[in-house]
Amino acid sequence: MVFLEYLPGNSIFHRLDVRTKVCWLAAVLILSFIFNDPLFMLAIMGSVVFIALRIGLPFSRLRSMFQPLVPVMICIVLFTGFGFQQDYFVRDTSRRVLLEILGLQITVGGVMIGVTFLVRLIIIVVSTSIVTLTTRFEDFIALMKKLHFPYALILAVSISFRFIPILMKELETVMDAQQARGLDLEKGSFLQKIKKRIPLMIPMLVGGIRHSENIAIAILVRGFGASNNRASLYDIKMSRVDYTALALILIIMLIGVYIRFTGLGIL
Amino acid sequence: MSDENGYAIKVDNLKFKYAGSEKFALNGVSFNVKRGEFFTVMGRNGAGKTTLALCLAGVIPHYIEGEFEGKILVDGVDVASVTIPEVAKKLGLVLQDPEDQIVGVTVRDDVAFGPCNLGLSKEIVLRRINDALKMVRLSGYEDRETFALSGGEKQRLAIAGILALGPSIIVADEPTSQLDPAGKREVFETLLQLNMIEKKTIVMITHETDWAMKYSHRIGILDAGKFVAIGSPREVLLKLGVDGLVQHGIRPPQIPHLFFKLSQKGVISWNSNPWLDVEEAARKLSELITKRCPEDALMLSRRNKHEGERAIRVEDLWHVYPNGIEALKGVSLQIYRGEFVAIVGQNGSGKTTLVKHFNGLLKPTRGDVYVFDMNTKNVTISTLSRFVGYVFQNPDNQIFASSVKDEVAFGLKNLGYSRDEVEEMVEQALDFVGLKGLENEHPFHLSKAERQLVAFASIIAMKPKIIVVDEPTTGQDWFGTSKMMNMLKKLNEEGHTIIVVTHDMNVVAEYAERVIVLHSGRILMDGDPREVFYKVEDLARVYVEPPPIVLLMNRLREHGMSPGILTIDEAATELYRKIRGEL
Repeated sequence: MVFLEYLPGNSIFHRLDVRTKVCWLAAVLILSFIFNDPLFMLAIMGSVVFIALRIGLPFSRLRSMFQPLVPVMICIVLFTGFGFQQDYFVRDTSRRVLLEILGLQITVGGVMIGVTFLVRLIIIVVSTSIVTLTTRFEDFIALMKKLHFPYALILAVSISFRFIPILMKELETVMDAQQARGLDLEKGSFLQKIKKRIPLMIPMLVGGIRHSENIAIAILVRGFGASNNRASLYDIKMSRVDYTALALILIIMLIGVYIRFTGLGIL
Repeated sequence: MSDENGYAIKVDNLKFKYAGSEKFALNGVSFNVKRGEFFTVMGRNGAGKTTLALCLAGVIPHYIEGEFEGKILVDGVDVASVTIPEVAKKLGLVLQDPEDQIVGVTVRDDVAFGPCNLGLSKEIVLRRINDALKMVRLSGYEDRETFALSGGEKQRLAIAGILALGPSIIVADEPTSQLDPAGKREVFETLLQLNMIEKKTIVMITHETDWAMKYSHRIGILDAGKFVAIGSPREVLLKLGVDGLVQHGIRPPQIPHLFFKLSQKGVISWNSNPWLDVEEAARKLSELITKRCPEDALMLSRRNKHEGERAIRVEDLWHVYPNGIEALKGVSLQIYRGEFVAIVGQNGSGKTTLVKHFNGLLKPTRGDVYVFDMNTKNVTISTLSRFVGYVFQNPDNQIFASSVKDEVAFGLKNLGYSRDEVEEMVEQALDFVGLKGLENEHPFHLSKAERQLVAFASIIAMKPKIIVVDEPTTGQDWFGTSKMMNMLKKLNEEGHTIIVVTHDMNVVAEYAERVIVLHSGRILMDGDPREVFYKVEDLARVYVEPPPIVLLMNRLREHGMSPGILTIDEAATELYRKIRGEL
């Protein structure tokens, strides 16, 4: 769902330490989950989108990512509209009934919760994308090292990440090869369509096993496991900007939590 | 130790049997490699070449298990008695597929992997990265992302990753088999430089005979787990002869092959020194061909020219991929029924993009493609698959069934043939490719060459009028290559239109009636290989190198060689006339 590749740039966000960025992400996610008033959510989204614009996030691709989800989104709003009945809400305005069908009521609050869900989804995708787009993969690896993850795990993550584009290309070839033998992936019932995935899945699986066997040999002959004392080429460092940013994030976060506990921002 | 110092590798009576296998993959291999030597190992698929490489690096017996006998000394150290990383400091192993050897996201990261594993300090690691990248001429690439590199660059990076461990010996297992000609050249030259400038000992496994003959100090021919000949290229040639090479599954190098043909005609003696490369042959031949040779040109049989029913018509075809890359920029061409066409050009020239339009896997961004007058825009891929068969390069990208029979039947079932028809057509196809009797085998128990035949059978079973084959000879030994090409020739004679996408110019010269050279999305040349291949300079500019025979004949043009000679037989006939004419 989120962008995995690095978007080169020199914004403040690019220069922040990976730890600061992860804290920011955590703060944004916590704030977006404690409120359910669309207005508050829109404010959070506004701040996230502002940062996204500053780093030059490719919105056109974001749109193409969301477009197929539009029917799902409409369903969410409808379901929440029906799903949350009057007694769930505190505010009078939220308890107002918009429509009543067969004893089920669509409440204003329910629809607003639906909108909140959508905005929350956008916040999650955009904020996570911001972090992955502005952070080099090496920095994530360095972070894992700092957190004392076992090296074998870090290497596995690193290799998997490297193989994403290779496996995507292989899947394309497998699809081409089976379609060239008359496999029609579009036609058929739901069950038939699932059955038609088998000729795609097996070559991918076998290919995956073959790759992993070769990789095992390749890393062994490059001395994997010879020493536990690995030098780190990249050091992640917290700068003054990072500490300032962290302080800011903490203050905003505390203000947010305080507002929530005074009873604002809920429906 | 002192007598060991001259040798980088000493192998004594090495035997190995994989766990679960009944046959010894290596069955008594003994050989030595001197320090600073460039030693090439050749042999058919299944001869034990990769097993030997894995033994030298200690992967066998330390990681892959089986029955191991004999002794391997690398730099005087017994490989079986030390760990794989200990061997890696002395001997580095480069594998076939560069993708599987790259672990880093950036070039620097990747080269760092080895020295970091050894626990070296950051300063030393950085220096090693610097030195290793310099040796493979990738300095300045440190921050590049590895997935965006070209095939040749990736393999050079893999070599750098090995060099960073500081070995004095490099073992490379078919390092160029996955690369296009430009990439091949890059990697061969890199290995050669490591040998000559850095004084590294190189052991290379390859199917590229012409290259091996020209540059190796010594060659070893492996077959059925044993060396059948070891010596300098000349010694090996004299010992085995051209027929002997073919018997062991090796494509005979063209220039020595020509020498052999001339010796059969009594022009020269085989036991003198066979020529190894174009330069040497040209020099010797221009001494032999003198003064009064016949002026007239040799009558070369014309390659068939087809006109009439059009199989494929491409009109001003443009293709732009979603990422904005313009792969085809206005290609127009017609392919007639019954033609045998080769499409060549370096990677990225648009070859595969073009042929994928023939069966509708890709649709034109602009322009039209017609297959038997159907516009591919208006028909589905599965409809087109009745008319156009497409054989992919790697059989493992399509094989999924649990028996050979079911795999070959897959396409036929998709096209809706009845059970009886399917059975009959599967049988015919398996018979044609020579896999009869293996119907119920599991495809993954077959060798790679056999799997290739299964994939091929699954396409021809559908009886398509047009057959497109992507790289039919990649990774194949001489048996596989000639078998595949002869089957295509037979299908062509039966009336099928054959379109081959290939980097193998010997195959083009031998089989194709027409060659289309693509370059950055446009058709650069299109015609009879007899004409196209003699535009040597134009081809060199787009990294297409005609076969050595063509290069030799082109050099001898001032001696009145008939233009258009493509095969060894033609060259031998012509040279015989010219040399005898002097008498």
